[in-house]
Amino acid sequence: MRKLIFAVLFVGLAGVALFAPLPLHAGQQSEHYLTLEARSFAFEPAVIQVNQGDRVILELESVDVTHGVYIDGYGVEAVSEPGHKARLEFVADRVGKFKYRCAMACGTLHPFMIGELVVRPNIPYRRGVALALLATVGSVVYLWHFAQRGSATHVSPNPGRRIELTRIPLLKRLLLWRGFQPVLMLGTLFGFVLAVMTGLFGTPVGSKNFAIIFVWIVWWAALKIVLVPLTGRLWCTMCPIPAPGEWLQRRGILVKRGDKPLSLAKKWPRKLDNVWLQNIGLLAVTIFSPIILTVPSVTGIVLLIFIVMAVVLSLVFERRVFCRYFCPVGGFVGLYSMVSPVELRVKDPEVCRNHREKECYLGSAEGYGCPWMVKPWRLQRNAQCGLCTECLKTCPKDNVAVNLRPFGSDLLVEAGRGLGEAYNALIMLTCALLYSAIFLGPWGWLKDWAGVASVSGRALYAGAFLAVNLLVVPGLFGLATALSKGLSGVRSVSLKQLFINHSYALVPMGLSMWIAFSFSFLFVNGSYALSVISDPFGWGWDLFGTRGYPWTPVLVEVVPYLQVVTLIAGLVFSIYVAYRIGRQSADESQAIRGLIPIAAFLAVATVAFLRLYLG
Amino acid sequence: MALCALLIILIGFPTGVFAYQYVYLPATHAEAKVIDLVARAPEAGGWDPEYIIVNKGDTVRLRITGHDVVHGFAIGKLGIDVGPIVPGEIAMVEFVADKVGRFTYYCNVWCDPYHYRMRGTLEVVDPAAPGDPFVAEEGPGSVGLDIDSPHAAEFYPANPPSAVRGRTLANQLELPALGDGSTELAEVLRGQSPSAVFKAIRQGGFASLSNEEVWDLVAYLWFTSTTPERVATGEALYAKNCAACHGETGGGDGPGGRYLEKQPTMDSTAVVTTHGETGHGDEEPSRHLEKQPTAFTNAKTMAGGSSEIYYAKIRRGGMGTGMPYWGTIFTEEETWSIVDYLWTFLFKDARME
Repeated sequence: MRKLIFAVLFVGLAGVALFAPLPLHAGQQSEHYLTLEARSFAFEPAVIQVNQGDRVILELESVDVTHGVYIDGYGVEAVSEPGHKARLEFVADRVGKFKYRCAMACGTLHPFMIGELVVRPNIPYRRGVALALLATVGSVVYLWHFAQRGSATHVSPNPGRRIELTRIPLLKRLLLWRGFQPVLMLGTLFGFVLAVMTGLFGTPVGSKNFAIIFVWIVWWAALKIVLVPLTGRLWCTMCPIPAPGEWLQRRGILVKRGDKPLSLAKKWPRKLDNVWLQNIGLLAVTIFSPIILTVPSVTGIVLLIFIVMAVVLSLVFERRVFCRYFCPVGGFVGLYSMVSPVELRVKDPEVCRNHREKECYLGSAEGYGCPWMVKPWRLQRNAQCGLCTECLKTCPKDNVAVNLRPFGSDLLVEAGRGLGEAYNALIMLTCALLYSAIFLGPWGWLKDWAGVASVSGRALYAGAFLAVNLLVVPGLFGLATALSKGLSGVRSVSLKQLFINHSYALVPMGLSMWIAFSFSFLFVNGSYALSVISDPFGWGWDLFGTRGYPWTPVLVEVVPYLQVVTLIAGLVFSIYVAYRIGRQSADESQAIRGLIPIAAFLAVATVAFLRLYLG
Repeated sequence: MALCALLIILIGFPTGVFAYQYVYLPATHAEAKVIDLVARAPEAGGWDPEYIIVNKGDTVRLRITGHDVVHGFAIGKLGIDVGPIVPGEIAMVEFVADKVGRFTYYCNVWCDPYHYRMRGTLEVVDPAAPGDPFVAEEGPGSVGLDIDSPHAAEFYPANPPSAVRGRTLANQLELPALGDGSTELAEVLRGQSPSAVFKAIRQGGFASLSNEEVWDLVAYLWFTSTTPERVATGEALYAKNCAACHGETGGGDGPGGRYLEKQPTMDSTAVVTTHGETGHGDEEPSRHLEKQPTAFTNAKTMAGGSSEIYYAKIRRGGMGTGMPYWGTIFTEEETWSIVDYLWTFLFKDARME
């Protein structure tokens, strides 16, 4: 009953935040006559503020090369050659923030040449912020009000709430088929080879090159929006990068062979048994992302480096060292896969305890021992399980299952937490914010800096980028953790451990930020995929008759609303996880007090993101 | 079987793709000479290739693609203008090379501080008549004409004179009718500056006329020696080739001009500027040649030159400025039409409407 009252109250307040009539602009409608100067890769002015109902006349003047302008939500477009101004006229009748972007390919950073039109009163932003704050306060109050009394509890969360998917006979047969993974891999390997070829030999114009469009728009958006949140590491099941190395190592593709592996089969050093190499790789890739994301040949080279590394490592070390310790994508996919509702686990730990042969780790005639160096009977989190399904095949007791389970269960598992993963969570959160500001923000100087060619300029950019990732944001989060410790009064857990514990609460938030980020380029630039699929090299082919399909932003006016919903869902989820984590070392009132600074940190991150996209 | 699939993906597929693109496709268009032309900004290499040789009578098919920013493609003196070359898209143009000679192809969309250097040469040779059949390139304008000295006008109008008012005045004064585009008059006027013609009329009587009225007469004279069609041709060529530096409205304020550096000079008549604008106020003031694009709207300099001078300047370029040479690109007729259009920045009502 009390829960019902609370729910009604909360929904009512959310309704007020969403639908309360805010005063519209009442003043005189005026006319704005502006010269919009376009140069690679920024507009001047970078931000245009008008009031609802104002007439806006823009004279676009390109000063270095041909540029265009397209205004999200209004759909108006113009192109200007240097020396020929173009005119745009419209009435700003829709409120909110609308990005205007270059509409004519103008160089590598063209997709990030963006300015902002703010039509006041900016009601969507205000409602978004109100909703975020309401969600924060509401979640904390709800948790406080309905907290289960009692002292600190280490019980792992709801182990019983599972639906075993491998009970479906067809799925079970598919997963037990040795061809399952190789067939998926051969499919993606085809795409991979095409991406490397188009990257190296196709047109250097990113928007017309398969490598850029299918790796950084189609694959990336699919990974962030669908694969990771819903299926965890399913991408790792089909990823082509380890395939050639693994098949060489196994001396076969489909059939399980008993031969000695074609590899020196060295053990990976214990000291490096963590995600730090992946964190370093991730930072390296993100520092150079302005080049990697936009220059096809660089994308091709990076993909080649990955596959060569994977082959070499599988010839030197045992199993899949590249996936487990090097792949920068594998690092955060592992972290975020803990959110997903799909898991691979043993059905009954008792069976394993009494079973000494451990075919799942050592291999058998049915399959290989875990390539990911995971001991399946100890598996409690998705982070290091690559869903290769070998243990399903090797377990003689039929004791391995693929389950559906509540979202985010693994985040509450205490075993296996570490500073490396904590930093991975912080780096991913920071990068989502930095990318949104650098690539999608209106600040030309940031883009100039990110794209700068000089060594000293790059070093400075890299230094600043690293400082924000490794010092500033972790410092702020450390501050929130210290406050949390102080407020809760718990002394039994060290600050470092608390920092590590609470970092797992950043995972849903970070994932929702990446989903929101992906929406913003998928809807705007996704249409390139249609023309590129017909002419992957930009050589003038027309395989499916869609080569001439023009750049068409789709539903861009809906994107901000999708982003608000995604971010607030991530925020509420993160606050809940933070509370449950706090509860593992504190009683309910300590946990609530300790939650407040963490919830505040999460709310600030959400509002910062809303500010970048809507404000 | 899986190994087969793997080999097909890793080796067969790439081989097939390259064989299709580089062996099969070229074999399918034997009837035309297909040339792939890549456009890059001059600082990144310009045209690739920069020199194309075809035989007289060849059907030439150019597949032009840009690799960085929007470029244009036109071939001077052949009347070929493909329009903007959008990066990554492929523009096609096909023509029969029926004229022997060297032709300059060039980018006609501003693309780089060195945009005007983005030129290449198409050579059409006649295999039946070997040797060097080419007519010598045109010399620098009309021989003996000084096009490098400043030509400030002795007289120039305070306000834009009107050719329509001039015609009304001419009718009132019952001056002899002047035929449209009268070639004799045109020949005479081409060698004269408006300033000189104004001076001649002033000295030749008509004491009752005000200076403004005399200027209206000059404007009328100027446009009777051309046709609206020629001015329109000139306007289109100007917009395409000149506006990026000289400005859409002739004010010398096009964005291309901002890349031109000022050259230090000892010439005491040069414009004095200081380095203050660079933020180092303590530096010595120095003299610079004014290298900004000419403002055709500046009556004082415009009225001091003759059509012949402007014609020669366009064809040769240089003058110690960043002005490119257009002699290898525009036909003589095209150049004259641009000169005719330039006068519309000094005089109003070129179309006499």
